Amino acid sequence: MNSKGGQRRLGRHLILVVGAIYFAFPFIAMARFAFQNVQVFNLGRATLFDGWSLSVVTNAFREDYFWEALRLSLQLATGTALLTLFILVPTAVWVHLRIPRARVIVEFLTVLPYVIPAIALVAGIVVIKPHARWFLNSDLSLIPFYAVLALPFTYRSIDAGLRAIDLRTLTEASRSLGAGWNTTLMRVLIPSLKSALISSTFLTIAVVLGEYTIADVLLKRTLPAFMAEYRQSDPRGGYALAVMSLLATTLLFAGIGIATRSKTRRSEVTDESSLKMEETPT
Amino acid sequence: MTSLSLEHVTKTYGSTIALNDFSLAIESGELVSLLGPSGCGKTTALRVVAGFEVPATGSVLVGGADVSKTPAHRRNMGMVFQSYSLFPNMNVAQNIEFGLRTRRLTPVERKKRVDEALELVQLQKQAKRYSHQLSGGQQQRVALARALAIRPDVLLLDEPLSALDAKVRSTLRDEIRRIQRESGTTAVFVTHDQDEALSISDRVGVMSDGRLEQLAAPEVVYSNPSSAFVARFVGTINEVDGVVEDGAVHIGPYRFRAPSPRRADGPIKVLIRPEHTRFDENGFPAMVRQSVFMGASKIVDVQADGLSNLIRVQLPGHATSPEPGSRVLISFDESKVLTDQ
Repeated sequence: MNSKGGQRRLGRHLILVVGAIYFAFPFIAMARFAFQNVQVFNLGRATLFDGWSLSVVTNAFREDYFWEALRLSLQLATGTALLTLFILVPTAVWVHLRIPRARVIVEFLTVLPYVIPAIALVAGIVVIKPHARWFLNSDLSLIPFYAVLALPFTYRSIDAGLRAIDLRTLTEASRSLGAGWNTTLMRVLIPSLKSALISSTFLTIAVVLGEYTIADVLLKRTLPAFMAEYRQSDPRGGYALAVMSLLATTLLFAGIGIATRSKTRRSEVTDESSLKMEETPT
Repeated sequence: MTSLSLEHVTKTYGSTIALNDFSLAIESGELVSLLGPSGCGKTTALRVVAGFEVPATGSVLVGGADVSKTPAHRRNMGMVFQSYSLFPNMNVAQNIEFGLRTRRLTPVERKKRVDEALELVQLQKQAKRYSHQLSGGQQQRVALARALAIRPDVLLLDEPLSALDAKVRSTLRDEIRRIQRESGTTAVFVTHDQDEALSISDRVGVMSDGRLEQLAAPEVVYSNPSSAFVARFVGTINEVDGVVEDGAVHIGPYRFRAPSPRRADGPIKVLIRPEHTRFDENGFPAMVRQSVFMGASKIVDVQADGLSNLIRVQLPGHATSPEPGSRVLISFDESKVLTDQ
């Protein structure tokens, strides 16, 4: 039993190590290319610690366009996250409560942006462009498109959150206590879905910070568009920014993990204390 | 204190009729239990009263006013659910305060009512705890306090004890009754547990197929069931095959006058409770299969000659019971016999 458990644990660790190597090696290679002031053909084990510098990034930071692009990307991320929450949470709640049978259809629809390449969406945008210039001229016009692109991730996150709570009972309890739909949503459901909403928001931000195709076609100067352009004039700087962006996204996901884990641990601790309370009648 | 009535309510789900011309009238301050098997429509009736379901026909009257078209959040109904329904993001006091906030009461009034409600369910010390820090029984007590704090016209209890263990269940059942009596709130209690319904209610409504079979005081429902369905559903009952001939019921050599309503000649089911069954030298022959001591009573199962099913006899706990395998004669308290053709 013990040796079996040990083997299983060893297997898990092995998979983790292999996975980490699979992701870490390209990342390290990219980081070395970007941050080591060493000729590419000299990059090897012997030069592992030579010539590391952040100057390529600081150079990129000196570009006015970088800060504009970063600001726009952050605005788009915020806008997309808000639009997603504003539309998706009530929709998902409605589907769960009123038309639970339609959940499969909604799941299918929300996965489509993942299946259909972004370029197909771009083709659609090109068709409507002449009729919607007033809208598409604005930098923030990317928000609805990004909300669609993020759907496969955000809907699943919110859906999982809704499945984890007793949605019907909480809603009916709130309504029976005199709360209308808005109060129920704002004061009962959204706070109960906090973890799901945080993870949905982080996923949205990750999608926005990584999207290039639509921004490029619509000539919007977002951070990924800036990086692609900057890479042409300074390849090392462009890749340095890509490493930084990847690092920021990874930190976001680590944030989700920590937030979720600490919540789980808290409930485990309180479950133990409530069990003790069950034993002592009040 | 407010009365409640449902008048000719029908509710369907597709081709399934959940409530079929259902009518019920409850007096102010009364606690009525709706009892019945799964799918009989008791929870649907409660949900129609709460405003969570819209009936196809009929109306719901609270204090004489028709609330059929009033949305759930404007009905002033307090509801306690089967599953734990406390808001996980709020502590006990905040949960109780929730309904008072929606009613825009002043902070002073809110605090007063929260304190009163906590005192009512004796959970003052748990006021700052969250739902995951409470036991199941405590959570249901908070749910009860929360429902009562808004001073509802009607308190609706949808199997609030079914998720609890037997001991907590019994304590909380008594507590619900005490609190309901003290507050004088009109209440509807839905349950499939007959002991719960009989012990807690002023009147019990037994439901079957979306209809009310009988609505009466618990003693009446038990001792004078209006139909074979009610007799079978409430309490334990013996079913014995008999034959009606010339106004008399024959069970083998045993014969007695058929109870009203008069049945046509032919085969009949005789329904009789174990406590109305006795050992009697004028009865019909049977063999004792087993005898079980239950404390206050003894249960003796006998196999009557020529009959397929066992008949249960209930004796006082101190009575001497025949040994398994011995021959006995049994008869019924004929005034308590029900028949079903």
